Amino acid sequence: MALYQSYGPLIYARCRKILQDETAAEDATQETFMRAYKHLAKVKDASEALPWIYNIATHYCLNLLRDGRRWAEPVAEVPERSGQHAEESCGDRDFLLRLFERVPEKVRVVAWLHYMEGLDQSEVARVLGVSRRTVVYRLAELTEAAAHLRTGGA
Amino acid sequence: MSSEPQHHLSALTLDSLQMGALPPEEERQARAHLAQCPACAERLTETASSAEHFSKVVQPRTLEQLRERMQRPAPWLSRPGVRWGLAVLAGVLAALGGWAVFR
Repeated sequence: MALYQSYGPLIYARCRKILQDETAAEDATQETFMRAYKHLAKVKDASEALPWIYNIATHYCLNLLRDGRRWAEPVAEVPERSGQHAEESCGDRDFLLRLFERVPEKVRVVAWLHYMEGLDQSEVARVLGVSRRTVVYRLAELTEAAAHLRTGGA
Repeated sequence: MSSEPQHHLSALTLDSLQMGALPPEEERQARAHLAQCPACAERLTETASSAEHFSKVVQPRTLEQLRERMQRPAPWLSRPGVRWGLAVLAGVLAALGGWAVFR
């Protein structure tokens, strides 16, 4: 349970930030660690533990939001302003959230980490265990979907 | 006029800083940024507040729950059909083993 005790507080804070709900964040944190413990052998180095658990938590929370269709709910707080602002590339947060309904999960997770959590492309690549080139492609896919949404595409 | 930096620390950097997991040079840079950036300092405070709530309230209540959930067999293993199937499979394997020994 050392993993839960060490990383639980920060993962809970992340889940709460994404889900904007304390109870949902509590459940998501437990679920994240259930999954993390199952696949613990995949972590070769202690320094990779936080990005790895981050990845699990982000996927889980974004899927919850998708399944609950909570994208369009009013957001109680200002989006995290970090790295490159979401507004600069994709418009406001509500627009980004609507956009998320139209892109595959792999693109959504990249976009969330980059635009909402402010991770740069290398950090996103590290968290997801993919190449930076893949991150660039997925962000390009989001930009294309954004252009489509702006012009009123279905 | 605000002198707030244009670029901000990522959530991963802030969390790593909070865990004391940043290499010394990166930690120095992050702290220097925080000293000049109220937005990032506020995000750090907000994360710290959520993390503290978890440590004081949520973790003591959920640690045992998580331990129990991890010890439970997977839900599909508990289904009667699956249990019956596994019992039949075990019987078949035992019979095959016996037959192999008999031969």
